[in-house]
Amino acid sequence: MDKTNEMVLRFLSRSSNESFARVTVAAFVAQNDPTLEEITDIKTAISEAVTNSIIHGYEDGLGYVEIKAVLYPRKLIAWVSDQGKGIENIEKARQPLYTSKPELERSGMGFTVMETFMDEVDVTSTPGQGTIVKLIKHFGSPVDKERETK
Amino acid sequence: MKNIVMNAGKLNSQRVKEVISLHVTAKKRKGILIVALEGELDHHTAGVVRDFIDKRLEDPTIRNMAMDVTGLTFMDSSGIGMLIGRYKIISKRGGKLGVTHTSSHIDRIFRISGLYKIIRAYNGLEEALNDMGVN
Repeated sequence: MDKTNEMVLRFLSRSSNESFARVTVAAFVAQNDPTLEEITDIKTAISEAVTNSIIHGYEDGLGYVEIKAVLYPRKLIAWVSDQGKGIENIEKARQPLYTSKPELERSGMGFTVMETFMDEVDVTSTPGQGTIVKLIKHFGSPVDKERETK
Repeated sequence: MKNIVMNAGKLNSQRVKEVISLHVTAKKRKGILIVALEGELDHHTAGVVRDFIDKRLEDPTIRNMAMDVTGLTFMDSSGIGMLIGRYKIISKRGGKLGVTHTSSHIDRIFRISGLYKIIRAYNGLEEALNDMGVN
């Protein structure tokens, strides 16, 4: 299916941009007539990926975080990328409750939240060069229908 | 979706500030710190909430904490970390940490993270206060 729309958002890795990023993507996605739950799922996943770039990618230094989002009639694909320090062990990073920064009261649930709320989460990272998190959400997917009837 | 569209239509500077901020208020009642959270709890705002609560927890007569999240419209895993941190402080005092009025979004975050194992959900503040020994 051909894409219906596309956007790119690039911003400094300041924590005040976390809400800016998720609200912007939510507003972009709104044109696809998603349910409120789908919107919240996407906002939460975007917030997690952006927070990871800010805290882990740039370790609270400054760099750019970029979000590219492509809309299809019933699907969103979003890439959240940074040119930060990268992830040494992606498998470990994705484990629930694992965090490299327990001293910052990080819960280690970021990737688990993304995986729960999105249909697909792919992580590509090169240590020293950066990380790309690809998030896919299907609108009106059977999973959401099932949730709605509960 | 309707909410988003409505917000986008009112994006004057005041409204933006309102959308991205988080309000936290607290009062003490018989050794229980009652905290109300309104707005969005993410990495950016979690630090403010943590500092606000920890300042009040310096009062050694506070043993339990009840959080009213009626007005909490968003929470991600940064909120989970902040809550676990406060639970550790409260549990060291032998107290309980409770939450009331979780929306379906907040409820899902609590469920997938296992927060309900350490934070009890109450049907309203009165139930929480009763369980924590007031009344």
